[in-house]
Amino acid sequence: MRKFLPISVSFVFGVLMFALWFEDSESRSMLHFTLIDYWQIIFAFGLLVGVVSFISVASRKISRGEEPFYNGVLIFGALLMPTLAMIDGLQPNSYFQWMFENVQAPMQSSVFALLAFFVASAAFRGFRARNAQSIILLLVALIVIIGRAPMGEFVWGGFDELIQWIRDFPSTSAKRAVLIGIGLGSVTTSLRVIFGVERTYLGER
Amino acid sequence: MSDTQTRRAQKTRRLIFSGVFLSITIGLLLPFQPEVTPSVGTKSMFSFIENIKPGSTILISFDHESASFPEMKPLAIAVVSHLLKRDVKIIAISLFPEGAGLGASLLRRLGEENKKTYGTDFVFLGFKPEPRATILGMGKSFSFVFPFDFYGTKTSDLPIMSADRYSDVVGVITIADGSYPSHWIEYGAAKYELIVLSALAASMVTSYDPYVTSGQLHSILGGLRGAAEYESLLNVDGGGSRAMLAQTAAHIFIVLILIVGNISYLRSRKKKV
Amino acid sequence: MDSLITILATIVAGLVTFWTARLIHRGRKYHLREIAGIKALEDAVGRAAEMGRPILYTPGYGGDIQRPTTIASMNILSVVAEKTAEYNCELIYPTHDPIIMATAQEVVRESYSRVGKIDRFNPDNIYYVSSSQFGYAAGVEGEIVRKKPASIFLLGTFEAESLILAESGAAVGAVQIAGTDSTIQLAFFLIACDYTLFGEELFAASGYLSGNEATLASVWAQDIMRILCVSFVALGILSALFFPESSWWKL
Repeated sequence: MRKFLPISVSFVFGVLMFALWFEDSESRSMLHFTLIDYWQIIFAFGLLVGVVSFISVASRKISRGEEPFYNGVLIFGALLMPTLAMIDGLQPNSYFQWMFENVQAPMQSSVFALLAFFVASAAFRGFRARNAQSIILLLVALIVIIGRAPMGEFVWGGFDELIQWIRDFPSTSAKRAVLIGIGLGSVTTSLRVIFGVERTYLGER
Repeated sequence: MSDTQTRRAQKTRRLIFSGVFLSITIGLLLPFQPEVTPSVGTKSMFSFIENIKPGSTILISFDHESASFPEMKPLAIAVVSHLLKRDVKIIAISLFPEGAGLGASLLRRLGEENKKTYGTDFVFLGFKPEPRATILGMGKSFSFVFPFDFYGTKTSDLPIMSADRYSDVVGVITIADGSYPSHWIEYGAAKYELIVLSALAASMVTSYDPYVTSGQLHSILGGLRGAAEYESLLNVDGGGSRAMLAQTAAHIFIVLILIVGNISYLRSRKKKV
Repeated sequence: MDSLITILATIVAGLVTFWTARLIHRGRKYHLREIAGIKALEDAVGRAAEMGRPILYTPGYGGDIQRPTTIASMNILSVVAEKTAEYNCELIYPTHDPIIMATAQEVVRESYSRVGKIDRFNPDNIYYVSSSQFGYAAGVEGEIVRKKPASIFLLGTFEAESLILAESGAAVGAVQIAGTDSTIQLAFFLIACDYTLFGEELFAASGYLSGNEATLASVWAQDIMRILCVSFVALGILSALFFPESSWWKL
């Protein structure tokens, strides 16, 4: 029963959602949109599971003496924001918005900005002229880096066209090939899940 | 890796990081803006908006988080300002909780600057979880998924909501930093024949090239450079144009380290031989 | 027309998958070429055991449990978890999605149970970090810097966090095996990681490692469908070249 029930549910809803993709009639639309409503509700409850797990894991780590300061900050932050929202609401001048705009957003932007540094260090290590292929890779990288900067137009007027050609042909065709492979993999994996052959998510192999 | 090699790698990394920091900082501080020529994608997005009949309605989705806001903001300002100037009505939503707060305040500010009325010329419906379910649900009607707007007003009471279906809007512009445009393409365009355009973070642009050439995505406006190009078409000075010198400086720095890296690599290979 | 093509393609995919499953079930051998990243998997676990350092496995920010890439990643996780249990090695699994977290806990628990090491299973090592992209990236990066894992598996759907994680892993000297269906992130992984599985190689890897008949059959089915796709494209090109007035290839 422990396996039968989830597999049956997967089959019924998998087939149903696939079939409903093609429908247009009003009566079946109601079923479609009711399912979509439930999808959103399940997703929202999933987040609740995450928050409970997040706080309980951090609390257990503190009680075991594992990185107490770090885990303490995690719990404090996780509780502070909803508390502020409950006390003062979410309106533009609330404490919550203030914290969001002045603490959370800059911290997240800083992590995003790290990409610029990591791109540079990865490029330094990765773009080495080791063989013919890596020389081609290096040259294309140089063309795109120079051409995509505004200075590129002063160096050579043809950069834009050349970069567009690289994007439209070699790059896009390679991406399409990978995408087709991924698409085929997705179709067969989905079929396996719908027909109950794929059971890894139940812990089986 | 031996200890000496690790130390050397760490030292090189620090030098590179400092170089990136300095080049970007200097680029931001200098009072000079290089000119940019609009690319094919930018021109395509611009002409799409130019050709929308005034009074029509468009859907905008703020599909980004606060992390990428410095990059997304100039893109969003350029596109939304253009739409408002062209008297196009805007129904906005967000598929990210963080995008909701950012989108709402940006839309409100630009609406006021352009003397537009909330509820008549533009509206912000807010955020709903699960992007695919939201996009599919809106296929029935927008008010089905969003019975109330971001500020708690019943959507059916707002005049702009006479456009309540995908067939009532000219298309959707997703202002995104990740994979959400693909949801709009796979569900909005494939099932409801919605025209999808995207203002994207630069790091995601080439991922969507195959969709542009296949016609599933109308056009892409990409990154700060895209914003600068759009600003040049609008003839305004904005965040994109102001960042172009910093971007140029960073690009020059990366070209330099690629050259230095390869010279040192070739030297070390010669030594080994 | 689009709907008709979708239905036809799905029926063909279903038939091919069932056909290959039947052949494999009857004992027909299907050879999978060796993928370097798969071969390196056991060495990566062994390395961590030797160094007495943990293994970090994360499925990326872009996926959810519905995504086939995440399911393929779960298949590989199941094998990695068995090996970490055998080698008495710590496995850390941070994720951005609570449902993925719950599923991964189940997968790892069963793997530990299969090799008789259920007492070593620690559910707290499989945890939810944040649903925010860079909150997740910062959390995982912090874990990499603090715990200095010997080996890192970045297998799933990644977005802009890919390079942040891969570069942090490189900085602590970890052996890194990556694989994703995000075409743009592949470029970053190729530069920063030791082994990279390209898109469908991730699905093939899950079939190869699990040895499961159905998974192998679906990998075989993918190959057959790939041949069909390529033939269709070739036919379209030939028609466009030699019969430009024809229009079926403009579908």
